[in-house]
Amino acid sequence: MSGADMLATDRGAELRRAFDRSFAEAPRSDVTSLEDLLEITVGVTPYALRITEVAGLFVDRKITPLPTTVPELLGITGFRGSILPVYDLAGMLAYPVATATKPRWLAIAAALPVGLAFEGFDRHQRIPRDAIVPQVRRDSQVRHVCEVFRSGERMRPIISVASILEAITSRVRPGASVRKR
Amino acid sequence: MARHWTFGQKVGASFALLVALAIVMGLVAFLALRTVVSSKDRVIDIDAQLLIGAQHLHALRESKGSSAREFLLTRDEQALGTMQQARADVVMVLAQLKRNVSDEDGQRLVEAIIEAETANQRAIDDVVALRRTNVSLDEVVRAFENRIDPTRDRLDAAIRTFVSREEQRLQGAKQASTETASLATMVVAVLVAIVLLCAIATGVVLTKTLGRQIGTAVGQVQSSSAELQAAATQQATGAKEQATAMSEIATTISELLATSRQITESARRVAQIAEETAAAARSGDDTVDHAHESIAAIRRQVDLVVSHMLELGKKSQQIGTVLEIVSELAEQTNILAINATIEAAGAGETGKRFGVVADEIRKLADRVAGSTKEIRGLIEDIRSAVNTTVMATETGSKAVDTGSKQFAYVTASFKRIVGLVTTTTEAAREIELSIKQQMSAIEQVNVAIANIAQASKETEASTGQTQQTASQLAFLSKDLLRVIRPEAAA
Repeated sequence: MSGADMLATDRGAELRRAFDRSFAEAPRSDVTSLEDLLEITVGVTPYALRITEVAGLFVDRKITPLPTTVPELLGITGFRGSILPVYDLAGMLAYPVATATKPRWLAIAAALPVGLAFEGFDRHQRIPRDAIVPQVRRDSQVRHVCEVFRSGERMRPIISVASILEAITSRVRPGASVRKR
Repeated sequence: MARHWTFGQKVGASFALLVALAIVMGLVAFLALRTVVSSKDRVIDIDAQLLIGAQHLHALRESKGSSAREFLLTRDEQALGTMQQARADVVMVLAQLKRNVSDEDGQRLVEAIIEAETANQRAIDDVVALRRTNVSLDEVVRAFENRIDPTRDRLDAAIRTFVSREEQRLQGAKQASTETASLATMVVAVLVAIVLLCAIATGVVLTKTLGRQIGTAVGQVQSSSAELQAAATQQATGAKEQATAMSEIATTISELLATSRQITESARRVAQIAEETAAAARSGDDTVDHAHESIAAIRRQVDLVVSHMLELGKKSQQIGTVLEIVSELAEQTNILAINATIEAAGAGETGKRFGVVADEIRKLADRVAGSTKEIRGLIEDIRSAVNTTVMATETGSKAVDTGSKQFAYVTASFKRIVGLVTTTTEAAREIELSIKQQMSAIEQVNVAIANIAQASKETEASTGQTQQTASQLAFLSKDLLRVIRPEAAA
């Protein structure tokens, strides 16, 4: 048996033990002190979304374009029996809207039936709440970003879906506010 | 051109000239002598005969007169007969004179004599007739004196006239003959003088010309003998140098002979080595054939490896396809787990347990995705390795092809080498044979060189003799020149 085979066998055993241990251990009590985040890529920039602001994550969903004057509106898509608009998250973050390639990933906002499309999904991340710090910079591209956290070697901003939805709502229906779910 | 005449031609021409002059002189002398003889003959035969005839005629007249006088005195008939006989002789002499006299004056004188004699004879006949008669003697004497004497005087006068003329003519002819003889003598003398002068001139010219020519020739002989002497000296020196050179050549040829023997030995060894090389080349040829077969087998194995590698690549691609499905499934599972987590988070407290399961599913999906990514990397490595291996194998296949072709070239080269080595062996043998023949030739040349050296020595000796002969020739030519031109020799 070669070294690679030994390594694969050890890894398989480790995975099995970790899987079994997760069901053997008692549920953690400090779950509330943790924050679930979806690390995504908007354009080429890494961002994160709070799971609590997202109703669902999908990939390669069919988006039907609509004739519109709103450049960020990519079209509409079906979700659990209802039709909802899909906005380009990069456009909402004031990045130039890419016309050649369409974003693959789609996150459904929890507060409103609105889809937010983006280019990449990196991973699901669970971090302590105290690891999240407020965003210091305030400019146009980070106007929907209030917090950041350290992911690996760099800081990753957390997009405020509520702020995005508010911007969409204010653009569609001036004066309306985002309904909290 | 007289200048180009030879010695013999000049001498011959001189003798021919002298002989021609002698012939001319002889002819002239002959003609002169003949003229003189003819003149004398004419004097003797004609003039002298005429004079003698005239004298005889006078004597016959005397005889006839005496006989007539005797008859008249004695009346002797015998005397009359004598007289008649004398008369017949007179007539005959007169006829002869008349025949011999050629000129008119002479004929006239002869006619006068005949006429006087006829008158005299008539007078005599008359007196004789008178005497036969009986007349007295005195009368007869008177008749004789009156008739015969005058006729006799006339006859004598005519005869004397004729004699005188003939004497004058004889004298004249004699004088003319003497003058002719003198002229002939003078002509002959002149010719003799001319011949002598020509002979002297020819002798002088011949002497001078031949002397000059012989002197020149002798001078040339002298010069040539000097040159011959110098040439003989040079030849002697050359012969000596040639003998020395021949000796050196003989030494060199001996060394060449030794070298040729060494070359023969080397050629023999070359032939031996070439034979061994040919055997090795044939063995190498077999080895190359075996190697060619091995390369063909390697090529087949390489083709098999390429085929297997391509199959492995296809399988890897299929694994990649399956892995894509697995990856997609993992991603879907992950999304599903995330959505479950979202739903669990939305469910509040009741969804926590479900959230744990969803989280584990997500972790599992993450690990599957990580493993899938890792497998994808490994598959990519495998595909890359397969591609590299296929490329390397194809390169190896091409190299094997190239090697196979090269081996074909090598095989051909080995065959050529075998052929060339065989040719080399034959050439080495031929060289060995040629060197042996060359050695034989060199030995013959050595013998010939020895002979030439001996001949050079003999040439040297004979050159000494030539030198001596040239010296003698030089002395001889000097003596000859001294004999011919003393002033030049001095």
